Amino acid sequence: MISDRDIKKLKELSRIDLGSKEEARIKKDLEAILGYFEKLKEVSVDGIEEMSFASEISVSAREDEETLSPPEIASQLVEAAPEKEEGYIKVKAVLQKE
Amino acid sequence: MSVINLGELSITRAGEMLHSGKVSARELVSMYLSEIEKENKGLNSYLEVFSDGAFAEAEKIDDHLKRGDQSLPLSGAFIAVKDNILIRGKTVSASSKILENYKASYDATVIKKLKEAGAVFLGRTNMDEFAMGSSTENSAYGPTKNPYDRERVPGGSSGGSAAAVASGLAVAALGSDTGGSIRQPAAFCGTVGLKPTYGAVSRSGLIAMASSLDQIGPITRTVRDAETIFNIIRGKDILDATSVEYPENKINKLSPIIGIPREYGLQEGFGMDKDVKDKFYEAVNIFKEHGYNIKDVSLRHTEYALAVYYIIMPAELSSNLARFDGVRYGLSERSATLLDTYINSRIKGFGTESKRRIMLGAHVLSAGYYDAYYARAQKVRTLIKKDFENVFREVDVLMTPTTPTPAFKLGEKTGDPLSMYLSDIFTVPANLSGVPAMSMPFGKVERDGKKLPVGIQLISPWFCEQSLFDAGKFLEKFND
Repeated sequence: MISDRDIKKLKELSRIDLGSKEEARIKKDLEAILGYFEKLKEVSVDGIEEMSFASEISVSAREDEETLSPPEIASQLVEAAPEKEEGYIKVKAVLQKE
Repeated sequence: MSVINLGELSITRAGEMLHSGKVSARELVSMYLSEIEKENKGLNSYLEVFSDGAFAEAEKIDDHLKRGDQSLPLSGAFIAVKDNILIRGKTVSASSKILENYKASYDATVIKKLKEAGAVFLGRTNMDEFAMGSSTENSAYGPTKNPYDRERVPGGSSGGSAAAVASGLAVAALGSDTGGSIRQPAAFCGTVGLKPTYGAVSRSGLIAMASSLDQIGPITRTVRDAETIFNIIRGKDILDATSVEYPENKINKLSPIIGIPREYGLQEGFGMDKDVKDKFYEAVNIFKEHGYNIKDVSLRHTEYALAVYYIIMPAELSSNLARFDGVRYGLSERSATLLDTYINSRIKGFGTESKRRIMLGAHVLSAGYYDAYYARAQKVRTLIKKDFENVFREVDVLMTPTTPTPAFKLGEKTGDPLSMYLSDIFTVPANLSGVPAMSMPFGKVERDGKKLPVGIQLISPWFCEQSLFDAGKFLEKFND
């Protein structure tokens, strides 16, 4: 039910990779879990809305105003990054020369 | 100072002792720390103990009390905090390698509220990685043991919190519940565990797992303590747009009608343990004998809840865990390209269960499968919620076993994720529909010569936590 191509695609989408033993195990587990989901086909869902909000009360939006946090918050957040420079988080180049 | 049995101490009782001057907060902290020192090695319920911070907070409480200040509602709350709730300046790892050295830069809203109320934080507790699991065996830092039988699991994912309270290493604890992660370990460890109504408690500062299901709640020794903590942490918070103003006392009937949903393992299936079932009916009979009206009811779509949950939860968590990329914070495996940095950091940082669920989430959301899985699950979720709306027109509280069995053995289910998932079968419907639910201990069953606690789950309509506390306090008197 889950092909090797599916697994390859899922690894790419998930930004992970697996060792061969871990991959075989996860493939087997995913098949069992997806098999369990077949159960849902028994339920008639014609005309039923998807439940997109968990809350009874509709989600509230706040005013679209600029609020400034104290500068130390920004520096603490940047501080948590593995690589930083002059108050910025440093990231490898996304586009590379061929 | 008289002898104090930490294993029997409640917030209420500790508060009374502090106010009467029988013991100081500093002395109690020192008793807790020495007990943790003695017991934690075997149990592995704490990942870190906040010795210095706890003494500093205790001294503040003692100063308040010396000045005759009675304004701290939570003096007496010596609390353990699940490792996915942020405390400013402290490490918070979600029991994952990917956050091993991450320090919180702010307090979660619940922490801020508890601090203001006079709580003392003793340490952070072990859990399944990113709250994914039902046994605490998915922690990157080793499993927690059940205090009633160390060959058994404490449940999960808030297993460290439940074990700490059960063994007297904290008077209470905070956990988080996405599909049963407060109630199932509370049941396995013989403590009280509350999953509040979705939106009742701010999730700001909780490391997100599945955002439409997550709630923070207390694990305590008494129902009254759960109520005390809940009343402090609830309420609207500007930092969590899904939190709402808590409506005051919607209903409070003197003699509520209790519904027994026949689908909760009581007729057939779900691997329902006979002894647990007997205990459950013993509890039902206590209500009956004391004049409560008991009604047989049906929640028709219960058998689909677990499948719905294991589609929606991985879908949400695969998105939430995308932020762990080796760039923003946490573990970083610097590699030749940005993509390799992402992949290598995630390979090294995530355990197998995290990888499994991230891939499952990616699968159910991917083009071609979305309608078959995710969209269908969201529709069945609507039906499950409707079941609750309908049943709460007939009854005020529902009563079910919290789990089909008592605590299982370490290693028993780690080879078969689906069988692990099935231990959440009675707890996930409350998360899917957003209603509050509480597990409380009621009696014990014997396994291999050890007495293991049984949990009874009470479920009430949205924002009617008071009904849970009222029924719970009544039943609590009969717990042996």
